[in-house]
Amino acid sequence: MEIRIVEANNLRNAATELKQSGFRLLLVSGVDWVQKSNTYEALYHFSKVCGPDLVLLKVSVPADDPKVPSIADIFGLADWHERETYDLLGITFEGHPNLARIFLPDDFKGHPLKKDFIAYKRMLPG
Amino acid sequence: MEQEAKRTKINFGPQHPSTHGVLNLLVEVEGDTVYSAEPHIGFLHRGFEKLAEERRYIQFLPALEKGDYVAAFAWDDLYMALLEKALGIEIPRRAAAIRTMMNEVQRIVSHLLWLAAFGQDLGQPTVFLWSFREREPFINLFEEVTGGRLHYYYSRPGGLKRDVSRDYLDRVIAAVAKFEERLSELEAMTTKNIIFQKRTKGVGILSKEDAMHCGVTGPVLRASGVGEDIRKSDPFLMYPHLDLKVITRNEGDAFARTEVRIEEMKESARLVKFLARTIPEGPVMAGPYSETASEKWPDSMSMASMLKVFGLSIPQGEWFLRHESPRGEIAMHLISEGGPKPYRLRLKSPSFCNLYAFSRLAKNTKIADMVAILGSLDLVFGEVDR
Amino acid sequence: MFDIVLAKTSDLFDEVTKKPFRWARGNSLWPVVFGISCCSLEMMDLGASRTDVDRMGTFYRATPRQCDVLIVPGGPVTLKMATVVQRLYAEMPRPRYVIGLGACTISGGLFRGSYNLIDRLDSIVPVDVYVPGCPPRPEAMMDGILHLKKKIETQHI
Repeated sequence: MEIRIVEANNLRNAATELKQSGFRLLLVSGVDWVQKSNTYEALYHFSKVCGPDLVLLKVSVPADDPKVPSIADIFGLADWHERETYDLLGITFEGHPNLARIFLPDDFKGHPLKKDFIAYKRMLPG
Repeated sequence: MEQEAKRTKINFGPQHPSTHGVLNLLVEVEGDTVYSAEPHIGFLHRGFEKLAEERRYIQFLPALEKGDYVAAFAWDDLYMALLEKALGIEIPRRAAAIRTMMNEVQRIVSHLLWLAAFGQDLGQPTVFLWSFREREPFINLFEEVTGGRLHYYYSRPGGLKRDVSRDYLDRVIAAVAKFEERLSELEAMTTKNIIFQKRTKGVGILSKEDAMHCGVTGPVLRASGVGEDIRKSDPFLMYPHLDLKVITRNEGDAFARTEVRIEEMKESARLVKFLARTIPEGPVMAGPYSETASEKWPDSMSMASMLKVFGLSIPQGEWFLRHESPRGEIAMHLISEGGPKPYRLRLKSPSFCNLYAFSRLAKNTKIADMVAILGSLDLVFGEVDR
Repeated sequence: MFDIVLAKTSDLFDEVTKKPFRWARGNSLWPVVFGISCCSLEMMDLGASRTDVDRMGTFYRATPRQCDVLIVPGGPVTLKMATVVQRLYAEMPRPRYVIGLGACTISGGLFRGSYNLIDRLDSIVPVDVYVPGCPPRPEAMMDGILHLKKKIETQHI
């Protein structure tokens, strides 16, 4: 699997270039590296259509301003995956048509997948 | 303005007999015509990825199988294959063959459940009852060797938890042979039935460009003309040695998806019979966890190995692996910083990708057609919401 | 006011003609079509032909207005789903019962304590019978329905 580190402002060009050379998007994810290097990382997995080649793009953004340009108009699949990454990790995708929470209720406070979110506490009913 | 006033927005709520699981559709209707349907999900979000970071590797396996509860073995197999890739263990040929065979049996079972739910949606309770009857022999076979009807926990890093006997494999062949005879009855009720054809032909047409843009996978993508099957494009287990036929159709409607799945069931039946006849002899576990129990139980793991598996730890690094489940392409990305728990485990579920295409497909249709489209996408909400 | 009077009259009537009513109620439990997660597959198996729950008098109805039992097939109840379950329960006419299937309704099951879950079903609706298992076998679910039937006939609920 080929791993490429890409700058945030170069992401859209890289994604368009991959689309034109016959790749499709598989997955958009986020990783919380705040405790290690004070950054968040957005991962984009691409695969060749009907082929085994895999490409992974990694975009690092600073923890105090996690903004990444959205590729939802190039690959429709990124629409919901970016909403999910925003919902669970708090990374904002600029230019997304409808960046709202997708899994959690709208009034949920916090982003659960961050390392400092303590998930296993007792939930009160109601 | 008057046109707008006649349209109402209603909730196809999370409790509805025609949604297979917890989906809330915000539907804009006028009479019987649906103008737009927007899916709202998250009613079953259990926090799998956070759970993975809190549990050890082998403790996460039961939770993972509850994601896609219809085809649990596909995820079981993928997760163990990922751990084996990370640890550098190569599984023995017998284990690979048995896992492939179980994958194909799981495909038959999953497609039968899809057919049952789809038939029920279209108003054919007979198809529901017949499909559940066809599932029973396979579920009993699974239960005999793994102990579970729906969730198996059968794979271990290095192979399989328990071996199967020759007698068991003969019974698998007999069950599949009987299933193949009965499949013609199911076809007579569905693909060869004029009412079913009228309800599904031309309904929910997903063009090739839309399918590629929305990122759908699995039978939905193959029914729109793209021959993408991970068992052929990026083969795993024993698939490089099997000649698999990738089944595609070009129309992209609900009928094409039905045909693709029924043909896949026939193909899986053929592969199961071939594999069950030609499984090589040998051990079923390899690597550091492969010590077998005493002479009384020569086919199972010993207690010492089980304890070692519990304390499994993976060195630093990242790994990615993808397989093909009955619903489409499943994938996992593992980032480990050393230690017994993962740092980040990301799951890709095909139903999440397929559901995104639904809002495109359900524009300007009838309510009954919208239900047929939803059924033909084969969604399982445990894996949509994770 | 009118509904309180009606409820009190019906309670009195019920006292007078106890047994046949309770027998009738226990033998014709009509559940709501409601499935959340993995246990709902075993519930579909319960309604299929091998373990046929139809012989117990159940008749699955789509709307809670026509039902008397709410079978909640596991999958833990999430925050978004809790309002839905409460609403379904509120829409059912009395007398109404609730069966909780699976370990997830008893204590949260495998996912206990997660950030999006309500661990125990009886913190949102009053539950009459719990069926343990993950998922419970269809025969175990049938046993749960028979327990509820016995509970209706012997206790006045």
